[in-house]
Amino acid sequence: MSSTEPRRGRRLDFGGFLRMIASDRSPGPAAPAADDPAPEQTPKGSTLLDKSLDRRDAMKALLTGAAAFGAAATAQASIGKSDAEKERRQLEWEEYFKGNYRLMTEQERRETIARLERLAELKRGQRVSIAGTPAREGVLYGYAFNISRCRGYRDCIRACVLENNQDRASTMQYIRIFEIKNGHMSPENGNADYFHEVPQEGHFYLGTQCFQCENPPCVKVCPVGATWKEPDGITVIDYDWCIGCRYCEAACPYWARRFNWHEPKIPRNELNPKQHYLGNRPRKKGVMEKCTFCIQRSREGQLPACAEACPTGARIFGNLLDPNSEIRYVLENKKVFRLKEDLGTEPKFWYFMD
Amino acid sequence: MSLFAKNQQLRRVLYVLWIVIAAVGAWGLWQRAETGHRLANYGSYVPWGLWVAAYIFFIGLSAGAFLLSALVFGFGFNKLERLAPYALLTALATLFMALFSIFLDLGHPFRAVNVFLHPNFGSMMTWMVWLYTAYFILIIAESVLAFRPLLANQQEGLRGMIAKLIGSANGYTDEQRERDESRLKILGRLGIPLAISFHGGVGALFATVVARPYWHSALYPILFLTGALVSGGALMLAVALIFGDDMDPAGEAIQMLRKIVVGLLAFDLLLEWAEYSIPMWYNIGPEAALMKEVLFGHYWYVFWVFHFGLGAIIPLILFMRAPKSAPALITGGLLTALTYMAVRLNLVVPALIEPQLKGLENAYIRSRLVFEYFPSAMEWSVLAGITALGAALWYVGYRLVLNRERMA
Repeated sequence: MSSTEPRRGRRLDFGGFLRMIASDRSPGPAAPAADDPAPEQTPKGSTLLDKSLDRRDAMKALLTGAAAFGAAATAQASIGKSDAEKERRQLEWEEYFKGNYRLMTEQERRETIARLERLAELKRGQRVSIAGTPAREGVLYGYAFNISRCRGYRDCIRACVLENNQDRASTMQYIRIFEIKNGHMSPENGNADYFHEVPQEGHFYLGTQCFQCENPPCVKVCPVGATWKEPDGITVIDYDWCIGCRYCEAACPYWARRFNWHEPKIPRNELNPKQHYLGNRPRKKGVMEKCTFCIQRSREGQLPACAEACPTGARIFGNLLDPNSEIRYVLENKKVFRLKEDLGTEPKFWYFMD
Repeated sequence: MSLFAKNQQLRRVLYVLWIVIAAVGAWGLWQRAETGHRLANYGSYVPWGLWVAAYIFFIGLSAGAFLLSALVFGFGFNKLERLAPYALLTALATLFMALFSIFLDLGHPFRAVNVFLHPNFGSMMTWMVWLYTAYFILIIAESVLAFRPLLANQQEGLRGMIAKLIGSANGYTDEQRERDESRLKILGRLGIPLAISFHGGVGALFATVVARPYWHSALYPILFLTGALVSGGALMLAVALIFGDDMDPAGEAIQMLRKIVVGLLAFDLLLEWAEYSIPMWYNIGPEAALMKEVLFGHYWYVFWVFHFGLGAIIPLILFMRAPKSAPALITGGLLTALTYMAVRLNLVVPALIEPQLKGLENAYIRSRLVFEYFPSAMEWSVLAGITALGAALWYVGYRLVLNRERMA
């Protein structure tokens, strides 16, 4: 299977000049990015109205900026701020002008990631490591779900939430496990909201999540190219480029995408510090997110958290291009099916039975 | 003198109505600014709601009104000549309302600029935004040309400023008029395919989504276009009779517009018959169930009462039985135009109450995980705010450019 990822630089990118402007500017913060969390309280003694403000400095700052708003903000940051505060604002200012991740050069990617790691430290006081590991050559990920083995424990869901830094306030989850009565096949006859001992007599369990379609409608509809399919088949989102129109959510036939209706909340002690730029780094409100087959793990040669957590071995993950992989064995030796195959989306997520 | 200028009682009613709508709207817009999407009733299963429906409603009004003006400016359809400047102003105000509606619906409104910085031309939404932008530029250019003679020799106040800006403060010669008319002709002709493309494009934005069988119909873009012409035309009928100078309901312009609206309304009903009857005929398939839900489900009255009754049948009776009565034509026009919002809601929402994976409705039930939708108070209030702002914009344009007479 060949990747359909457009070549880098093929799209129009008028954002470059904005980034150039940003890099030329003084590190004045001006307004924080629209998507940033509420700025911290301005420390006393730092505003233009404050008596301790040096007039010459203030005038200088006001004159250097072209716009009054930008200039005032520059002055605000340049006086009386702690170094950390100044650094944070500078980094946030630079963040505002960054481009689409897919179109960044390697250097820009490294700088962006370093900036985000530093920002995480400055804002939350937590050290995180954000990887930008690219897709490996000769790898196309696929997933198979053994219906006869799943017992509905939902350990996969818990592992996924913890691994992927999902919002706890809205109990956002990428995975649904449907408890379905024997004699039926569709989740229509199932229930994913069960609270009883499992497995239940006369029922089987079927999990859904993003199927990482080879022909993904969600990618096609995005007006700004904020989501795309990587060469290893994983559909990702640049959270800092998404405009939050939710067209992809409407266009996905499998309800695989989630929208952040508010600022996501992750308990401090539960933040997973091992992150990927296109994966589990904490999202902001107003953007989409989705399962990435745990890109931060799979690209490092590990299983996705759901597959690792499954106690029954119902989840099979691997490289579809490797003839010796377990996933290839399943596809070649079991009777497999996919959901809504008639749509032509070519999900890379198969179901099978022993 | 216009009916609005002559009738003090009508003015009072409209002013009070505007104040009430603006007050409610101010609260809504404040809430939207303060709480974001938190107070909205759309959610993870029904990601688009009232504001998306309002967006296609307003943009339909804009396209409909614009196409009427384009008939005059582009093709010299002189029977509607008197209505053309009103239609242009209405197209401009409703375009603002539409863009503001969708702006507020975005998760990151200010990132919308990314559609220009880094467009994905494979997406219908990108085409829509780019075509809107072209339409916006064209409508501004047309307004400048069309309003120049109306503001000729204006030197003072805001009017003078606008006149200076559009280049007619120091008079308007016949030579200029001739030149502007030929430019308007070109722009009007360009505008027709543009308006058809962008509004058909809005229909295609929905129709191309294969995941939603309810939307996935080749008829959708045509329904959108017809709807735009019906609602925009009906609105112009009411606007012309209320705000037009000495507009005679029995006169050529109004009668022509009345006939156009009646014809389009009938055609729209025919298309709707096709849209509903074909998937429902054998009562099999995903669309059939959804259409049954629209017609006979929980919100049956949106279709039958607001659209079919108040929006189509009563106006048709009024237009046919009292063709020369101003109150009848105004009522019919307003009913058709305003209740078209019901059609727009029925175009957007029902497709989303169908779970992509059957069974999701039995999954976790949380406030954002329900396959039901009725707009929240905040959503309605924001719509009121957008309406009040658009009406104010229109009125300012009207008083500055189209009508400078003293009120009775």
